[in-house]
Amino acid sequence: MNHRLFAPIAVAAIAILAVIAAITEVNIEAARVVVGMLLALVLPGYAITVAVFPQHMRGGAERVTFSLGLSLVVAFLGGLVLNWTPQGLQATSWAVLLGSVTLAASIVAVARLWSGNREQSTINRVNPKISIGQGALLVLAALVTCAAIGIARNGAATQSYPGFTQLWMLPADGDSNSAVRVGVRSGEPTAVRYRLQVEADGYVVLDQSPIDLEPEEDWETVLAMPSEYSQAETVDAVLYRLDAPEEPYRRVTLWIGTGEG
Amino acid sequence: MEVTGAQETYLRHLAVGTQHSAEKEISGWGLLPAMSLVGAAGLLLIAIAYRGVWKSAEWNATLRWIGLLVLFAPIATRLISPRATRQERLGLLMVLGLGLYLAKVMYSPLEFKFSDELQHWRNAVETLQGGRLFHENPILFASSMYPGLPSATAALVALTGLEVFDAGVIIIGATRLALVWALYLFFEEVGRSPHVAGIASMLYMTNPHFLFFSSFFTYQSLALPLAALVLFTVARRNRLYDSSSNLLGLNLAIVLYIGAVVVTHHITTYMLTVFLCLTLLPWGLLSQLIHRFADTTIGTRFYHSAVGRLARLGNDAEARDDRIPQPCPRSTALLAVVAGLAWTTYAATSTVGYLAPNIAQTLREFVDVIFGEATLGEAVGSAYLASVELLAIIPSTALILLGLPPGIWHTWRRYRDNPLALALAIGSLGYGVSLLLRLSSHTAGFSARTWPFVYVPVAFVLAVAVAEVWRARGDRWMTRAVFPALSIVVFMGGMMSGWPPHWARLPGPYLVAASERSIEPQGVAAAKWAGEVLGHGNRVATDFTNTYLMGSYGMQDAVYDLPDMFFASELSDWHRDAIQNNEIRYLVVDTRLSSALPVRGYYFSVWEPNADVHTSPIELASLEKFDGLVDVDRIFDSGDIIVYDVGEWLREP
Repeated sequence: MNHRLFAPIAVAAIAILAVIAAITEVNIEAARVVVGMLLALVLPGYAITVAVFPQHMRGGAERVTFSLGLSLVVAFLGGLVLNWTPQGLQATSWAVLLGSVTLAASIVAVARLWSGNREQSTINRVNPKISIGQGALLVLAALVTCAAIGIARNGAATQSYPGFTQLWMLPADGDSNSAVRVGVRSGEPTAVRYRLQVEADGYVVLDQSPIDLEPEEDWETVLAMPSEYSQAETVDAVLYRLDAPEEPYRRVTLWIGTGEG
Repeated sequence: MEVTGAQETYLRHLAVGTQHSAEKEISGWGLLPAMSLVGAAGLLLIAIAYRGVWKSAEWNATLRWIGLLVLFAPIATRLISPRATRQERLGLLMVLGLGLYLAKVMYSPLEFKFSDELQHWRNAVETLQGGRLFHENPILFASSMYPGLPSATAALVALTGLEVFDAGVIIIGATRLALVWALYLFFEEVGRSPHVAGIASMLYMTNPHFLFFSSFFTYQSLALPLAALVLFTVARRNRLYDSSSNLLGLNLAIVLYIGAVVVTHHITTYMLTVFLCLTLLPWGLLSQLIHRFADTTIGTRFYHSAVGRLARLGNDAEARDDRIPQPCPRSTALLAVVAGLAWTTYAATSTVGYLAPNIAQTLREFVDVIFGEATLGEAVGSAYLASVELLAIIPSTALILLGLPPGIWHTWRRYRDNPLALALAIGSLGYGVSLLLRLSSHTAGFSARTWPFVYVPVAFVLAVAVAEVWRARGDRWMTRAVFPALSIVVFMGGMMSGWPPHWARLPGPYLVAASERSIEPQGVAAAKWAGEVLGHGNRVATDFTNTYLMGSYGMQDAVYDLPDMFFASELSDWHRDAIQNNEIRYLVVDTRLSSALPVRGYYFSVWEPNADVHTSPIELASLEKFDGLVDVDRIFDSGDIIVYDVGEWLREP
């Protein structure tokens, strides 16, 4: 087999595998990422590039640039096409579309390469030879770059921000005043113990303590208003931290007796 | 079209440029591996600066500048030298382009923080959730009509399972590589020299928006590389050596690229169209004269003898092609005009309504500047620049202005048969216009938006000037030292002029009304709560920062143009009317606004009272005035952020 036919055939094969992986929902995360990136950003453009430029291009940069650009074009314009289909922009429809484009372009590429002028231009061919020293420097550069990214990510993840706690309250059923939903969510850096007190016109209808929340944990309840408080004007919820039990930490208020609801 | 022997010979010279002697000394990769390591060291310094290893912000900021210089200076020096091989230049440009992109990514490596990115994050998420394009986006209305970015992001997320943030970083990174190489290839085709192309591509990266703004997850970042690909493909098609089968592919690529630009970003479409139309201007005057002359017997003899004489002069490969007239891309310009108009007319109908008021306002203020009603002091005195930075910005601007006239002259002298080169020369004059727009702080923003486009011709013209001086002076220590030094001045000036402003150059703790420095977990969590508990699409009035958070993470219809609602010490009927007229359901109050002056000059919008000249923070009592008001529910409290439900005020009395 002419070695120039190898690339489009390999691309077509990878595209078929990628489509199968997407349709059958292969659950190997790393494989899915690699194959998905190839199918979205590389394969369609590469296949089209080989199909429409049967003569060799002037160097790898030109081929890479065309491949990236045309892959993005397929994703842009493909999105418009999928938008008009009943399925819309879903993983399966993307896989079928991008896979089909890649496959069709690969077939055209093979046909044109098979029948066309197979002379190769040597203009701007990349000289891939690399010495051991140069290779070592490149590997070192990659490692240092990874270290830089790691430091930046670690710095962002450990950036110190003040902790916070959310307290919220809403009518439980739209505008109905017969019950309220109350929620607490902790954004504090450590576990915190809370006490929640809910009052209707100053009368306590709920006193919940302790509420123990780990960081990023939340707590929620629906509180049906006792019938004796059905005419209450306001419902107040006050949250206390048990390490400072006298000082209201968060406070919310609903007016339930003045509107139409 | 067959490739003639003479053309093949020329192409071989083009391929290797002037580096024959260099290739004897070093391999094809040249100093790329060593430069990559130095560039990586620069990135490491930037990461350490972002990490904030020193308590002093000044020290960290200085370290960041050193890191940027370590990344830029050695590569720029090598690119300016004619010794580098073409292969090495491409590698160096990739390292520099992606290195500068990583410098932006490392600023916020876990989430989008820039307001422009939050706008487009919403488009991508809604596309993924609904499986459809063209969702309304209240925090950037025009973006919903340009679905290129959400479409590509949706494809990558759907196929890989990555988060939108990770997919966005990958997509913009891929387009950054495409941009850098497409520009190089375009400059190489037009300039017929790897040396000129390398310098021009490097100079393009000194544009103030290259480091951050053009790296944002926005539709412009995606459209710009595609526009560069259009230019490169047009230039490539214009060359005489392509086979007819390749011409078919090039024409197809041009159509696809233009289509992609049109559905991705409005301004890029218009800028590309203007540039392509510029190529028509000089061609009409010159082509007939040149063709008539070339068709005569004398002309043909002169042409051949001129080429032969130039060829005997030595390695001056570029000049040999001077007498080969280049066709004018009429059909491409026409296609860009038609496609742009068609999309604006039939799909993106409200683009004109979105852009026209801004452009009209800019023009009005520009006239004010011309007639002396605004002064230079307004621009340079803005909150975005540290005063010491002017020491770099002014020489940088002066150097560009000084370099343009000789660059334009040499472009005319050397490339006057190429309409693309002449369009670049004419386009470089846009730099002067952008400087005039900088004279007023109000039009400065519009000026900044032109940089990614204006610097394409500016970089080419300056590179032609540098290459000419090098050609005339030779490879002496003077030229080897002076041009890298000048490029560093231009780079530093560019980076200081661009985003982020001096107060946000390093990531860090919350600052009041300070763009990305105001994005922190409490605000993000409040917005996410709103989206989950209140549902999507509620009308919310709040400050500038929380508008973007509520409009993105919260999926709310948030507005920041009701500043008096928050500044007023007590509410009046006017405020009730404003809430009813704007159908505001929720007010989001960030009490931290009362703790300091707004770093960016305003809390809500540039139209608020005392914008840019606040002397005291907004009163806490003004922000807390909603507490206890009858029928105003205080439904959310996270300490600094309070959400009030004013839905009762929307009911009919």
